[in-house]
Amino acid sequence: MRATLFLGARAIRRAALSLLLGAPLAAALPAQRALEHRYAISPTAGIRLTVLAPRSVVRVIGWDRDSLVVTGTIGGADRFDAGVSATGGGAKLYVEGAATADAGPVRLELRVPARSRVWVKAATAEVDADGVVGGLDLNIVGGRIRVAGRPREVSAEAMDGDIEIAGSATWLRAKTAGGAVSLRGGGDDVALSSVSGRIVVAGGRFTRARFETVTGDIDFEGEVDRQGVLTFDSHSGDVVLRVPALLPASYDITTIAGAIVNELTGARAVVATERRARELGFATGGGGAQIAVRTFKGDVAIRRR
Amino acid sequence: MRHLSDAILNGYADGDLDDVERGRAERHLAECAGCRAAVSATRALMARAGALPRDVAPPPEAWSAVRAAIRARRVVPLDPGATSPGVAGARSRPVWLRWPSLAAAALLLVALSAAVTARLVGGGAPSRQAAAAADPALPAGSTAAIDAQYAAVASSLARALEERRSTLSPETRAVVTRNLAVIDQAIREARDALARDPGNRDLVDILSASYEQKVDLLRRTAELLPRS
Repeated sequence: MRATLFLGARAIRRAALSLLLGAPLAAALPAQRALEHRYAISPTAGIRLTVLAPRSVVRVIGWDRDSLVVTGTIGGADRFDAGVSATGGGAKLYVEGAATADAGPVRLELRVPARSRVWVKAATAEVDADGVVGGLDLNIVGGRIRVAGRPREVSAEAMDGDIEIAGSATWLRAKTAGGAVSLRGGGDDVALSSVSGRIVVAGGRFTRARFETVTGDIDFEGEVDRQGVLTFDSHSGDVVLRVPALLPASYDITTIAGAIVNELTGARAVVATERRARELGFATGGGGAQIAVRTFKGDVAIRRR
Repeated sequence: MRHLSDAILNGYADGDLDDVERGRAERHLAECAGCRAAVSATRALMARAGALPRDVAPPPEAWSAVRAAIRARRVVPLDPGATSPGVAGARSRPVWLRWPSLAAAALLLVALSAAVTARLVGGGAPSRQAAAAADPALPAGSTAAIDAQYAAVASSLARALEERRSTLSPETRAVVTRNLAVIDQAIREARDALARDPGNRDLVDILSASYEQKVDLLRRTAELLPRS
């Protein structure tokens, strides 16, 4: 469906009418335009949405139907294009905002097959995804990303926006430069990264996970599989781990210029003899998971959960 | 520990691996700083190549394969199943025709040298203390080598961005500038510490991690640039 064709015809008619009436062209265009489009689509389709508008609000909802429904509002002069492949295996949606000063945000709601793979790329945007169990690839510059549910794969990237994940994912990547990352839920394979924002993990079970910041603090509270491998790296952010006292795990903590606090056992950090660093290694629960923390000058605290 | 093959590294960087292969690669990458560095370098170089304006002819001796790929890409027919131009169809182009693969192939030498250098240094696994104790003396010059490799990639990306920074919004420019300053400060601190304590494997890893963040931020910024 080429929505722009219909818009073009309407716009031309309105423009002609406006000229006849002597009214400014801009006044003839509606401030907002409602969208409602439905497409038959395969249950595991790849759906790609690109929003080229300064501000947008996008909600993605997974449902148990083999159809894609797009509803919402866009500016009267905004462009909307959509197409679905003949097999229903792929869909591409495209919104381009008209560069008008009074344009409101693009608001879209996508109902997608729960097992589909959804890509969203937008500038400043609030992106919410809920109920998708397939894949999510969400990319924004500013704003925020929120994901809820149990998607198999999640990749969320923001330049300056916050990322919030509520739920677990088999494979999860969340990356932001200036924003914060929060995760309530675990995952088999997780990597969270921020340059200056904070990383907060509150609950969930992890098998393999990597948490990285440059200056942002890292606050972790969760369970770790016996075979799990977790690494925490920060240059100057503080790292706090809240874990069960008897978690079967061995800890390997290194900091060049930070302090180390261990509330799990009586083990104390020592100054490495062969290089400048403070180190602390100990095990609880007979060992098992491997937990490594490294900072340059951030403090490290291991606390009881 | 066996490192990832070049085919797997490139496939991973391109996003071409299937779920099983990708899972295996991810597990290895979680533990192997060398392979992570190779993937980062490959992706950074792909982004750098992707950010090049297409109306500037690259040197023929170095870019003939890439140029051929661009020509090939221009005549690849659209998916006949698509009902609208630009619709992502079910069928994708062959792997060998994909722009990132070819760009990566054209720049493989640099990526491999970065990987080899990173592997010289190693580290990043949970048993860092044991590794450091077992091998306290790093190979001479390896720290400088990894520093130079990352710095080269980062500065190339930074140059590409600088040339086209006007295409980014002022807000995005401010965010990128602010966070690059944060990373550069961290790099300076790690390098200064390394100068005082050469051979400190933890410092090498910390420096590498900051460079990885910088290259990744530059790569992601490069992806925001229009590809006119």
